[in-house]
Amino acid sequence: MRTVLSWLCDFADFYSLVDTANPDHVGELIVKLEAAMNSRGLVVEGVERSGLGLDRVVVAKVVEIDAIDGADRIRTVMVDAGGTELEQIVCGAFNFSLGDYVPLARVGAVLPGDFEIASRKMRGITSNGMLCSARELALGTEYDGLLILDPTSVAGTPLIDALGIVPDVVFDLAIEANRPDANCHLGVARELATHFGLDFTNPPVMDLSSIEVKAIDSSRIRSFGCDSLVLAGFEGPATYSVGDFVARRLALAGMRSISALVDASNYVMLELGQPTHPYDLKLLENSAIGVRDAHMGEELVTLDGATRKLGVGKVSSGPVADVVIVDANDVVIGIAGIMGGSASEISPATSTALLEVAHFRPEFIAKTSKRLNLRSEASARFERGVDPGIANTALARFCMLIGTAPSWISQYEDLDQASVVRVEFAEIRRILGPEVAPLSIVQDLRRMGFVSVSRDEESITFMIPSNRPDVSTPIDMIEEFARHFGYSNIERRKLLVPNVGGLTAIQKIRRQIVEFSCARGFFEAWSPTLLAPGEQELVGDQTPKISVSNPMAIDESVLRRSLLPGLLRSVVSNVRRGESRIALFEIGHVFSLPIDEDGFPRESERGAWVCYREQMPPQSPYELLRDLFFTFGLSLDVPFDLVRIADLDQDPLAMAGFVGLHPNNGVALRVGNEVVGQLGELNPYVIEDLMGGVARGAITVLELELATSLYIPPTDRASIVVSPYPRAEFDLSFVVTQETLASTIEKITRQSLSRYQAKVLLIDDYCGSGLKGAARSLTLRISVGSLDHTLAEAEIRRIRQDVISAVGRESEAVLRE
Amino acid sequence: MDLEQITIVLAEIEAQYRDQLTKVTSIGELDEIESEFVGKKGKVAGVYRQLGAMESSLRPIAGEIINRLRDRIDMELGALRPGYLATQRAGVIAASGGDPTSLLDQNRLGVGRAHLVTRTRQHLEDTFVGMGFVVEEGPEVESEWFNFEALNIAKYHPARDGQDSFYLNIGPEESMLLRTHTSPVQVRVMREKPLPIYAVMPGRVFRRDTADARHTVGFHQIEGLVVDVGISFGHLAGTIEAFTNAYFGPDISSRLRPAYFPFTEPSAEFEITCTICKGHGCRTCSNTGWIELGGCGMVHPNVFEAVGIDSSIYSGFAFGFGIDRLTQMRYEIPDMRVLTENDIRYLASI
Repeated sequence: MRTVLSWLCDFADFYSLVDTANPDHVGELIVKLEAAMNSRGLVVEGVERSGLGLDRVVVAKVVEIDAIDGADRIRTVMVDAGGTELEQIVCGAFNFSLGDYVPLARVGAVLPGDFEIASRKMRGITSNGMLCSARELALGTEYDGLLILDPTSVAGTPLIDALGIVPDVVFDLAIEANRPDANCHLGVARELATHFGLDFTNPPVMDLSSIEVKAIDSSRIRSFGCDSLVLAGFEGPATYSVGDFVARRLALAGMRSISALVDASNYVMLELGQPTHPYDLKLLENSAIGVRDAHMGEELVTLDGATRKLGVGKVSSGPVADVVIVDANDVVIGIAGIMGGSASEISPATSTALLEVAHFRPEFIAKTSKRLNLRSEASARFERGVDPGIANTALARFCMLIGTAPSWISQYEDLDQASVVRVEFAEIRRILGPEVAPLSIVQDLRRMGFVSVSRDEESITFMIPSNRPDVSTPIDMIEEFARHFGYSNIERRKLLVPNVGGLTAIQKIRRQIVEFSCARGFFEAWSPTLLAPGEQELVGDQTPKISVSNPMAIDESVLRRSLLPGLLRSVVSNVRRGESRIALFEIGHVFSLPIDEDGFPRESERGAWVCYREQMPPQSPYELLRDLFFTFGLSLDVPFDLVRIADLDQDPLAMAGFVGLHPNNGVALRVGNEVVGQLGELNPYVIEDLMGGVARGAITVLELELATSLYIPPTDRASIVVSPYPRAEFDLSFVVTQETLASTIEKITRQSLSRYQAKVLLIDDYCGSGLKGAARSLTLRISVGSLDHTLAEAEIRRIRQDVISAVGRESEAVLRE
Repeated sequence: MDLEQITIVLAEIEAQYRDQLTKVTSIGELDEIESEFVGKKGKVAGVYRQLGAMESSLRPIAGEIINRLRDRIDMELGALRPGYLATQRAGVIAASGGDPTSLLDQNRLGVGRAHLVTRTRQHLEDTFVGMGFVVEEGPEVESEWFNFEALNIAKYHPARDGQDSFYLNIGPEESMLLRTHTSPVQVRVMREKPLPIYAVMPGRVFRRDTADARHTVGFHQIEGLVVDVGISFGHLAGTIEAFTNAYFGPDISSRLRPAYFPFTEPSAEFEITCTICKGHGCRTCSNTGWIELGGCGMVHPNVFEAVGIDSSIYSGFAFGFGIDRLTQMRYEIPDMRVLTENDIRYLASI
């Protein structure tokens, strides 16, 4: 909220806080007020000073312009500044011509920014002041030339008069949702007066006691959303006017001046926090208005010219209708608390008027304002809670401003009773700290309207003022105590933590994965959780997706099921930047259907690694997997198992979010029938679709469900005893088909040797002459030892035979003779 | 053969040896001399073989004379060997070579780096772990109850406006969403974990903000939660200060000012000494010397009620702030969007 200093000073003498003899006492006051506002939770987001430092700045008319010998950046300008003689100024601007009116800062002026103007000599020519740009006067941002004034100006007039400037200060305040009382100058001034212990004066209002107040027939109020309505008729007919300060302060507060009645209405809102709405009485049937719930499908053209569709909105507790203002014929003429209709709008010609001063329940206004996406100064205040007790003061203040008493007043009221809150002293100390002395704060609370109605040894009970609808429970009162005690006065205490801090086993593994991946040359990426529609389809996932029902941009609307599309997006952009080697990894959440009984989708954490090389083959994802497993002491043999993707049912694989790989050069990592990972080469047509003709290389991929693969905390195992006996080493070559996985043959071999200390290495994968058709030959180098003796020739032969039989039995591989 | 003859033969052998030794230039030639004179089939061994023809009583004396010559030659050659060996090795080394800096680029594996946000997150986690906290996590898709309702944010509460949410098209309308803050993890921890609680909760959150230099659609937060008997606002202020000193250094301190959050009361915004100017005032802190870091407050009784904790016995505080913003401050990142671009030139640069 833009808060005007001169306006605040109507309520309390804030200038008494500083020594007005100090030339920069305004600056001093700003610093004091800003610190106080911040410490009270009225956060100052900006301070603007307007019209200051213009004391010796006058309007001057350019009469003569002369070049200076040897100078091409400055000229001599003779101006008429209202004196009997012309004045000589040296000036560096070139945007003006003879006859223009410009601002002249006379010698002795102190411009904004503490810039003092003195008489100076330049190139031997005396300059008796300075002609100014808008920026030099803090009247704008232009600094390319002089500020050119209205041609009807009068030379010699003080600039502040010529421009109608009154020096003032505007604080831009952020008011929190729990401070509805501070949404107006009165509230801010009261908080500050309490803070500084200054006397506080309410604004002058017109005495309306002689005017009879009629009751509004309750049949006119047919909505639960309205609990108070005051109507005042100004049947004049009259012309209305308000003081100049009204338009000036409205402008500083960020509102345009429109007409006397509208300005007075806005002024009251910014001053007291009570939105009011004036209608042109002539445009109202029977001079009567009422309040009701909107009917489905009703429409209204609002003041801003837009047609608004009204009706019934839905909330979790059931349907709630918009609250509308209607005329005597039940026709909608305004949206309650948000915006009036254009049909009954006040015009400068309005001679008779009706002022509506209402109170609406916050949740109704909030709901309609949100549904219509229509926010106004009024709705912002009603949403947070307007003081229901201030309606009559607001009306009397409005009358004071326009200098006219209403012809009649009518009123309806169905307000909730003021609430009473009891708070225990022990509770205040338990929540805030033992040194907080509640009784020292009661005086300040009274100034803020919290009157203590009873008090005993243990507790105090307050009547809650009507401008604080947010306060209803003891904890709300404790917060009031805290603010008035001062947050910075609460003693800081050391937390004595009885627990032992630390990371869980899984959190430690996650960090190790990051370290491992970096050591392997992978950079950690942050790819988006929300993808574009079709982005996952491009990678081959055609299954139903979870999407956002209210996306910001269509490219960020689908929840990722796999980390792959996001990482590939980054690979593509890096390739386009000319990178020929890219290795990225990411650890992040992925989401998939179906939803469980509580409505949650499946959500899990994955790790994914992608590697692109333009020239060389990319890193082997199988090696990466094996080394990762080794790092965490896991075995690829139990309970995991690797299956060629082409040999799997594709639908369950896609539902699990594993897609995109070359079906023959990709394998799935399984536990039982559940796929927990995949690795291999990205389908080259996926690359082609993603990059067009850009990529020349291949991309390898490893993607893992972390909970079921790497997030298996290491168990403490006894270390092995190393065999002291010589090891026997022999090679075996098996003839296999193209479809056979080398890892399968290795695994069978390792398992058949489980009784020994054995090492199995694939040392050759041969394909070519000497082999029939498309067959391959895999050569394993096996080294085996025993713990208790040197293996004898016969025993080694038997071991060798056991391996050959096991491989023959469990696969289609045959020994290559 | 008698002793005299033996002596003469040995003297001849020694003379030959001495003559040849003067011509030695390499360890190979030294080896040759060794083999020629004292090797198994060498000249000295040849004299031994002649002892058989000698009277047996003289043999030990003759043997002793031969041994003396053999030992002398052995010793001399042994003493010369290291010098010739070193010369020979130096020659081999000098004649061989390489360039260890000639690394063919395509074979290079290189090393990667953790993401800047990960690094900041780990640093924060470590700081809090050092203060005795554990790290808790939760899902990114949340129900409206966990994200709002349990946190005392009613349906039309203005607070829901400020964190406009991404709702999902699963379940009833506006029932499931991408969490707008990490606070639902607090709710989960309070429901599921034994008391007392001293925990921090980092994670990714989502708000309907347009991506710009200061915002990304998804971003990262860390929250802290303490629930125990006897926890007061004073402990909150003390903990924020302890964290500020531990993380930013002893010359950076903190202060609290009143603020509003539905899930805490009293609530506060916490500010720290501007890390750029150390409190003297600069552009970053708009000359105030302070920069806003996050929000905090005492856990609201309604939140305790929603999770089934007796607020008349337990009290607690919570605090939270943005990890990405700290990352931006720490690495002086002018535009946050660089964090999601995954440009490897950038990732490799810091």
